[in-house]
Amino acid sequence: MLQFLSSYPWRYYLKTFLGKGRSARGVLLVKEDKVSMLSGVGGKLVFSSGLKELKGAPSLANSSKARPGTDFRKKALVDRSVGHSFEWIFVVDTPEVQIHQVDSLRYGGTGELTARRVMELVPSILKADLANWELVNSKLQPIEQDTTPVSILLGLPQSVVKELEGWSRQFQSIVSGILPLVLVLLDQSISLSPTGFHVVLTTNHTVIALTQEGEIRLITRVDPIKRLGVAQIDAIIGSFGDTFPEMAHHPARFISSDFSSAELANEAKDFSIPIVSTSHLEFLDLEEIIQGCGVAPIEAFALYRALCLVPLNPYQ
Amino acid sequence: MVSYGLFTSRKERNRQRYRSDKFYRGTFTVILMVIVAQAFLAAAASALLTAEKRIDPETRTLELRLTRLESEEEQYGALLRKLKTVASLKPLIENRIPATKLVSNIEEAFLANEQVGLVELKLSNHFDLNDPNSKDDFTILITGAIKATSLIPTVILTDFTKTLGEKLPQAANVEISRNAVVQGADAFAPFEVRIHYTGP
Repeated sequence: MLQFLSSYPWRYYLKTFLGKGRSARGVLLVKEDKVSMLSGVGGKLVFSSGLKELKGAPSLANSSKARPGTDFRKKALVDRSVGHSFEWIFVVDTPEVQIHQVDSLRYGGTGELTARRVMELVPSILKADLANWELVNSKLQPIEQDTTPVSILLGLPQSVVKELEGWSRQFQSIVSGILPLVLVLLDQSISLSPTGFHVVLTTNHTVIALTQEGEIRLITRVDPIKRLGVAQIDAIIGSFGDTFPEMAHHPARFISSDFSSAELANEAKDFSIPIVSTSHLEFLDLEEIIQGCGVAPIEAFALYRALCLVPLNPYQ
Repeated sequence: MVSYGLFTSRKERNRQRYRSDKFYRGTFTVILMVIVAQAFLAAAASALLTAEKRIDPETRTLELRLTRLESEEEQYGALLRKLKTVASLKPLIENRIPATKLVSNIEEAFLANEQVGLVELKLSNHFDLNDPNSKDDFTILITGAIKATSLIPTVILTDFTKTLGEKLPQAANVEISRNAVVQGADAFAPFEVRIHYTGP
């Protein structure tokens, strides 16, 4: 009853008493050191970066209040129609994001994914009850929609979810989804190379995956490249190639929101297999759609990808 | 595509579900209408109270005035009743033909008929002083005598009664109660005429 009362959207009903109005969506990349945004302004998608320093910006921990008059509202949200009809998609990069490959046969039914169930699936997980868990299939779709042999278990700290939802609630907005950055970049990489190896590099993670015709066959998460080193990544890819020898000749696609394509090529120059550095030149068509993407093109395109990844609100 | 609401909490999903739920929206509309109705009611009640407070001194003044008027009405009741009676009698008084006028008319009739002499005139009026609607109800009894001449007394009396009818008001009823007949060697033939007149 208390939960119902606390969730009762009386303010929303008051504001939409004479009609629901048009809903709008926006994507926010929230990292420990960076906040960027992509949303519509006057019918065009506008990308803004460097918002972390603005007072009232969202954060993964201890977001400052985005009260009216704060810099974030005045500078970042102006003309973006942020209100009760606005839907936020958060893309986050935090060290606590967890990615595990799970055998779908072990998962079995489609019951609720409780912390206990998670610990049964992956016994090595610690503090499973402090995270929110989601299971996706090898095409990154809901497992209920299509149960593929390989599925991926994703974990995100509850504190991050609570922080971002609380921040969104200040505008009476709703949250359409919270996506780990590695997931978005991996999806983007797969869209460019449906078959082959993928190395996704973010500030906090390195995700290595092997895909075949858009479906993930193998996936693992390791430490960031700075800590891990290129040689370790090369070794993991080698082991993936051993498991799927028929795939070993495919190049490895590198994608990163932190490194430029030149930096990536330089980092992976000693790789044992050919590599492809994802460049913004591969998204020339998007440059016409997204205004201001030149500052951080891969980041902007990743946010656009996130916007496409989350379906429209089924409740409206 | 990933699932809608990926990684969002149950609370957030409930928020969205409640937002679009027709039943909850309908419940809210009903509650809102009740609150608005209550607000209107409260506003109307306060407006009435304010108006009542403003009207209250006027009401008290009017009540006092009404009491005073009632006591005055009681005080002047008898006079009013008299005035009412007088008012109802006014047309009677204005249109009344007095007895003197009738007598004067009868005198004129006698003057017009020299052969006819007056012996006695009795006038009575059955006017009821206690009845405001009462009318003059005269009965005049004329006793006279006609001098025996060459003319027949009955003819003279008929002429006389005709003259009376002309002189008196139209409503007067003239009738011969005793015809003039010469008795033996009498020089005068006595007669009696009865006049009845009811006032307008």
